[in-house]
Amino acid sequence: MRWTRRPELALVLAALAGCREPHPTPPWAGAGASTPRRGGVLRFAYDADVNTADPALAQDTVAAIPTRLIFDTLVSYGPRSTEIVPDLAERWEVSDDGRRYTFHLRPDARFSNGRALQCDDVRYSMERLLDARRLASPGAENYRLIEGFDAFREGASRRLAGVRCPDPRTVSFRLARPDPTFLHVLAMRFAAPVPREVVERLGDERFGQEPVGTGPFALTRWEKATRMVFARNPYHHSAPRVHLDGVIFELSVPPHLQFMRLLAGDLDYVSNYGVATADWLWLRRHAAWLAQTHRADVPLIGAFMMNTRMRPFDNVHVRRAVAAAIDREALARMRNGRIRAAGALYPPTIAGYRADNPRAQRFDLERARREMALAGHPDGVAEPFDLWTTSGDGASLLAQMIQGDLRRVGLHARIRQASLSVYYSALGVPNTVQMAFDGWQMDYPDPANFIEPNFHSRGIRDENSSNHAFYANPRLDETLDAAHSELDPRRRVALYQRAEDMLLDDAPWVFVYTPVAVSVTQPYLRGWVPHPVWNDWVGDAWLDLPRRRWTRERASAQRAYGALAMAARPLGAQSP
Amino acid sequence: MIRFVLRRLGWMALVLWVVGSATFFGMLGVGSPARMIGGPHASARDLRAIERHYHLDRPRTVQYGYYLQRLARGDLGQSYRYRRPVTSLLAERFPRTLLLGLIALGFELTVGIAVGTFAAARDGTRGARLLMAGTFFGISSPTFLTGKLALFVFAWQLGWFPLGGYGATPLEHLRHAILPAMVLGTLGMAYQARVLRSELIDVLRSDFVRTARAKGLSEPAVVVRHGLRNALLPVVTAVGLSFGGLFTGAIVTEAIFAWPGVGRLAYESITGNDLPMVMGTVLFASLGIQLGSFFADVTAALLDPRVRAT
Repeated sequence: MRWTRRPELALVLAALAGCREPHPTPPWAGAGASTPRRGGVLRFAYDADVNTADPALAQDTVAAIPTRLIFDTLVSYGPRSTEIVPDLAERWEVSDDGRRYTFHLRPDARFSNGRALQCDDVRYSMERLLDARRLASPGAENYRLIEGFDAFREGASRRLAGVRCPDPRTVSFRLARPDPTFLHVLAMRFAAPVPREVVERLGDERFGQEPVGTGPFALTRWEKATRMVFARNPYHHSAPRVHLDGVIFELSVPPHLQFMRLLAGDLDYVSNYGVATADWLWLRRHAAWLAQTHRADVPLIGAFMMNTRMRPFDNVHVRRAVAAAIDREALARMRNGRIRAAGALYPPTIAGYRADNPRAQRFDLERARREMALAGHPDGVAEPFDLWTTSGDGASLLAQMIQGDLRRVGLHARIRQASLSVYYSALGVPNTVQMAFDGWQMDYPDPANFIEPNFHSRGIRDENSSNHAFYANPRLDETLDAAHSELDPRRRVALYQRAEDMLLDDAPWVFVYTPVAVSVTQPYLRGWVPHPVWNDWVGDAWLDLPRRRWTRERASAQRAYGALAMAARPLGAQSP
Repeated sequence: MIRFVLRRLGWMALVLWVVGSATFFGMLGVGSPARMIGGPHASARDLRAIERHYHLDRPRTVQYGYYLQRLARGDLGQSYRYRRPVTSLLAERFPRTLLLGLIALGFELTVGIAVGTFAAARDGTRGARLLMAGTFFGISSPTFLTGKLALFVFAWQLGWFPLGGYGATPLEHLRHAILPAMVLGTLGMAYQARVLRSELIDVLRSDFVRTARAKGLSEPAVVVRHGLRNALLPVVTAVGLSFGGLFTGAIVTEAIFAWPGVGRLAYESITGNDLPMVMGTVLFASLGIQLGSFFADVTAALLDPRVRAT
């Protein structure tokens, strides 16, 4: 029988013949400009919905993206650095005792409705943020060192004593004790000034949907769960240096769609969350797209915590054995280079990071077996223990790899997958979780933010402990308290490194990896580099328009431009 | 008939209450909603403030009492994550899911009836067998597979449809809805086609059809005017049931195609432990299924008086 008489076979053959790679090269190239051009609307997407654009409430990764476009803060970070730079405050002074910060507002700082920013807006915004009965902001506790915090938060005082307005363009903060991280805390979006009259007119709920800020862009349209449309804020103090006319931020677009739309030329860039493992492998086989890929270290430490109050991890030798038993390089290979092996707490972009720390945890099976013998378990521990992990594929895969590594030293892990809600709730309760996939993504680029919540004994509570390992070391507490008040930056970093060494020795966590973010941009999107502090920051980007059909020659010119741009990339950022 | 409808409505209210209460107490014991609102970095003191704000520090029975009190006033509460009324969020998303559901229902009926009729009229031929094999695939394939497959072939490879999303204008909404609606309606279409085919084959063997043929009517007229009209009854009653199924099926379809409807909202609220939002979407879906089933029962009762007695 000939195949033409078999319609079903003909259908299969036709389908196979139709399979092709629609976009092996970028569909569009830039016009070839060598200096930034003004104009164009940048379009990108995210795999979640924005719940609110109120900076006092926007705590998750996705809500941080629009609030960063809409709101400026008193101080901020440079385009490609973790250094604090002036933003709404043109300058500031810190008193000798490190307790008083005085900020001088820029004369041209305005909200997107044209009204000038005044000290009263800063004070009002801070009091609104800290009013527990009004907002219950998840970020309030970051500002606990402002004088009068407790009295105001508990309702005993109507004003926040530590914030004063000597004149409309000067704002001063008085702290209960010196805090070198205070500028970082003020750079967090929670502290962004909001216009009192707009908030009072709209109410808190509506203000989160119709925000007005001092940032480089203003929200012009929000189609719920679909897209947010921004236009350049004409009143922004640096408006002439904002190149884009607007930004379209599409919401709840799953990674597979983001990547396909990028290849089709429908999105201008895709962040790390939009590049799945299969997409990354595809990129590595397509040189033209690979040239458009940016890789950068993420300020996050991936780790496994061991509960120091529960067997068998109440024995320091067992914890050290675990730290030596894990083959981190094998994990990095398994994740196709999307993670980098790590053996200590601070990621590469954080002060205190030591690339060649001899005390760093590393894979050494012999040492692991020796430690197990010292622990009194030369033949391993017969009783299995629970290894908790979240329900994501990546976490589950890592847990399985670790499970295999630990079996080699006689430790038998039972993997327990839990929803995020159950997982976080259980981790914070004493004597509940023996071992868990854990880690920390920074709130701000300072070693204090990595070590204090996770290892200071202050973080131990009957519920909602932030110290999941329930690790208590008075010497470490003392060192951390000293470091937090130390005003000399070099001595401060040395103290944090000493504290890190204590952790490496006591091993309440086994440090495993730092992620490597992979982002892909269209050839005509220029000036975009991964920001070392913020995810998906597009405020400095520009579009090389009009875009033209992609050709190999234009790609070469593009790569030459890329080589120049490389020179200005931040520490830790790499090209593929 | 009125007693039948009232009885049916009473059962609906009871089912809604049982489903709502089971969801409430089932979700309330799971993890920490305050942690999900505050995020992994929120301090213990901030979490306590959040708990006080949402009355999460009260006993479960008291929280349940608050919920019922609000529900009686038609207030589904405030979403933990969005900090907005659940009813507003449902009102925003429902028209989008309804659009998807109506197109899916249209696809299900038109294609299902066409395929079922063709397969019955040409029973035993290769074409009919091929179509029935296709419907078998449609019934047995999960939506997450057919959805991704359809997206890959028709949107990515062939470029006939947009790559997911909702579009910006009413015309774009329609264009973006076609492929996900077809995926959503595939299961129902295949089911309707198979039900109709077997029913129609039986009808076409009936004496009155033989008489119609003997009178010299053309075959299409016999099949459509005499056969189809009598075979459609089970299809009509099944529509009501499948309408409810469209709501639940939308959870997966909307996630695959980035369609911003109630299904996507339900998925996000379940993973985010947003109890008021989960309650809202569960009650909403339950009501949709109940109404579909109610419609099917009433239709059956209208068409067959014996049903009213049961």
